[in-house]
Amino acid sequence: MLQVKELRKRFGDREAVSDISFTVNKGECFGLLGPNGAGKSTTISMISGLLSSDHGDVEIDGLSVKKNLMAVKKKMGVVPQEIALYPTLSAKENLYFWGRMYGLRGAMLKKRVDEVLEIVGLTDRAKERIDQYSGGMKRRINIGAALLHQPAYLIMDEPTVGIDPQSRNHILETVKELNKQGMTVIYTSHYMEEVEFLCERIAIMDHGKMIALGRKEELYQYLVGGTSIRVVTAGIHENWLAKLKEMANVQNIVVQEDTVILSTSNKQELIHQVIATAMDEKIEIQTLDIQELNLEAVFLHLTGRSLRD
Amino acid sequence: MRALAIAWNELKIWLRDGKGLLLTFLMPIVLTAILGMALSGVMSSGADSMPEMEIGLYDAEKSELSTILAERVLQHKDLKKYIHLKEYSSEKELRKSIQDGERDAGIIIPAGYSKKLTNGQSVQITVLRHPEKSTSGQIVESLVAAYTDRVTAIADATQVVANDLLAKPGGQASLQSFVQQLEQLGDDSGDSRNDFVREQSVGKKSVSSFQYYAAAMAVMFLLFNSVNGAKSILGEKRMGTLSRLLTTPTQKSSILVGKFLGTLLFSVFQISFFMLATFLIFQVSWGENILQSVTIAFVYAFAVAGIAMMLASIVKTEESADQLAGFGVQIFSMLGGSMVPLFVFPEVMRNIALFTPNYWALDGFLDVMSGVSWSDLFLTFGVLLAIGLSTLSIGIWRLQAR
Ligand SMILES: Nc1ncnc2c1ncn2[C@@H]1O[C@H](COP(=O)(O)OP(=O)(O)O)[C@@H](O)[C@H]1O
Ligand SMILES: [Mg+2]
Repeated sequence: MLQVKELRKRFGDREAVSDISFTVNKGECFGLLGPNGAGKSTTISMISGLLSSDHGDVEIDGLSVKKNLMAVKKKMGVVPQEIALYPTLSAKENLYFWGRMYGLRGAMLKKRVDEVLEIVGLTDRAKERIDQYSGGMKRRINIGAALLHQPAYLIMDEPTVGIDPQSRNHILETVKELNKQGMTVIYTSHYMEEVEFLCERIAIMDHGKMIALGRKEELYQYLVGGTSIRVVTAGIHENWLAKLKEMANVQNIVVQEDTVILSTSNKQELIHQVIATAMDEKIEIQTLDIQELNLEAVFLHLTGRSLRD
Repeated sequence: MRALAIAWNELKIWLRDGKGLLLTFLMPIVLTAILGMALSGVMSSGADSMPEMEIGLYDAEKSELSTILAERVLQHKDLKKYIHLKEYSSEKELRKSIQDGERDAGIIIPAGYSKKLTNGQSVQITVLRHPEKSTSGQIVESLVAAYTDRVTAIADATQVVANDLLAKPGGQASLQSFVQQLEQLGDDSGDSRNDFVREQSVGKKSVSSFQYYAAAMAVMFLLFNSVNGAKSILGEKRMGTLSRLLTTPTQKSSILVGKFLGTLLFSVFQISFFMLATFLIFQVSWGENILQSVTIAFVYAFAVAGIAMMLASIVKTEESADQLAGFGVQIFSMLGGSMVPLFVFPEVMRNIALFTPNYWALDGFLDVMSGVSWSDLFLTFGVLLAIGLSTLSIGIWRLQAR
């Protein structure tokens, strides 16, 4: 079990992480979702002992990161957000090196390097230099380097940023398979589809704070059994907003410049009302879309912003 | 030992860098060949037949380099008998004295001489000749040219290494222009023969120009490893591999010791190769007791690796490390006697030289070449070890804290 307890980190006068707590159970795949700058990497750095927290602690199987750092590090495989490999060395040489750093040697090291190459699907090209690799292949070795010592906990920080869909699928399938085989995974991303695909329990972060935490279904309940409707206009008028707010169908309303986001449990009726009132008030509607049940909608509902802003 | 694995990894990365290898392994050999051969000394034999000359000098610059040329080279003890130097306070006065037949030849050192010289630009030192005393003019010209060539060659070498080896790829142009300049230097050498080799030595044997420059180049090129070693740490920080190392169960101290050992191993490897190559190709003798030279090589490599750690703890980015390499190594090489032998320097500079590790290493090699006992070398060993240990401690202490 991995317990994150009230972690806090401040850089200058900016609080990058404020009071983050969550628990990851053995065998689980836990998602940490949030837009860029939410504080995900900072949280991961504190979990992996790379950054000391201003407050709080992390316990892994009862061992504190603050007090038993080395013991904790042996249990974890950390996949950093950037590709942290030696570009002029081959994939194989890199894996051998990182394996040694995890304390492997001899026949065991060789066996694990071969296995990991198999897992990430690069056995054929293991002898090529990393700087000759495509972005996706680099990402795969970047993950592989954290798997060598068969860690109980795999901690991944945006492992699919900037790669082609094929490599991305390969990585997602690999993580799913590792998790199925019993590895506990913490998966960080700003792609909600990935987190949704992999993880059962999810924490959503924004501006350093945890804004939601729970199983997928629990998070969807923020949407109150309903749907979000996003209306982009050429210009909003006060009168129209007042009318929207009065509607019985509207459960929540968020206004961002010329965009209005409404939550409802009766989308058809609401769409009709929105269009009718807009015509009355001579509001020009440019886009109207319906956001179904997904984490993007949850995030939108909670923050009024899109994950990718 | 994880530190050893880290050191080995570092060595592997260095050995894989083709262009870097060319510059670290081939360049010093080429440079030694050129400096050793082209400028090898016939001065002592030629000196007997030299005529006495009345030479005038106008030094518009009055810098360190121009003073060395005026006072130390032209007034070198072997030359003093023949060259009677008189300084003039303006070009006009100097010209007049030659017209009047008072002086046989005149030298004009232009303003900006040393700056251009160390930038690798060509500089013109004007030599005025009296029409009836052309021999004196020629001798003076060749002395001046030999000095200028030598300083330029070394200044160039440090620049090229700084640009090509240390900076980002794409610095090919400077390497080419350097090679061209070297070729030219070779052509010029016919009339610029001179020898500034060690004035006196502790031991029994005299040291040849070839030996001098072999030691000087070994020492100078190893100094670049301080910058390279520091850059390798800064580079790992940039690439994120340092952070990644810190997420593995590897102690911070093992990482630092590993990086230190990496620079040390590479330096030892580089200087061993150089010593062997210069011995095999040019029959450069590194002393009767080769163990002494090897020990100096080792303690110097130790100091160089220590400095690398200290630099890494002070310098923030690889770019600033490059800038440091550009002039830092040049100044150290200059001070330490790799450009022109130290005895031509004024007292003050020779004292400053005592603070440079390369001075001690070069001095040590020259001592070994001239044949000294182990006890004569203890001071050299001690100083180099002290430099290595203190810089290593500062580096590790500062980097640990991060
Ligand atoms: N070393 C640092 N120094 C100063 N500010 C930082 C540092 N690391 C992160 N930050 C800031 O903390 C906030 C969170 O960053 P980060 O944890 O990288 O977010 P995420 O991984 O979710 O994109 C950002 O505003 C970022 O600018
Ligand atoms: Mg991040």
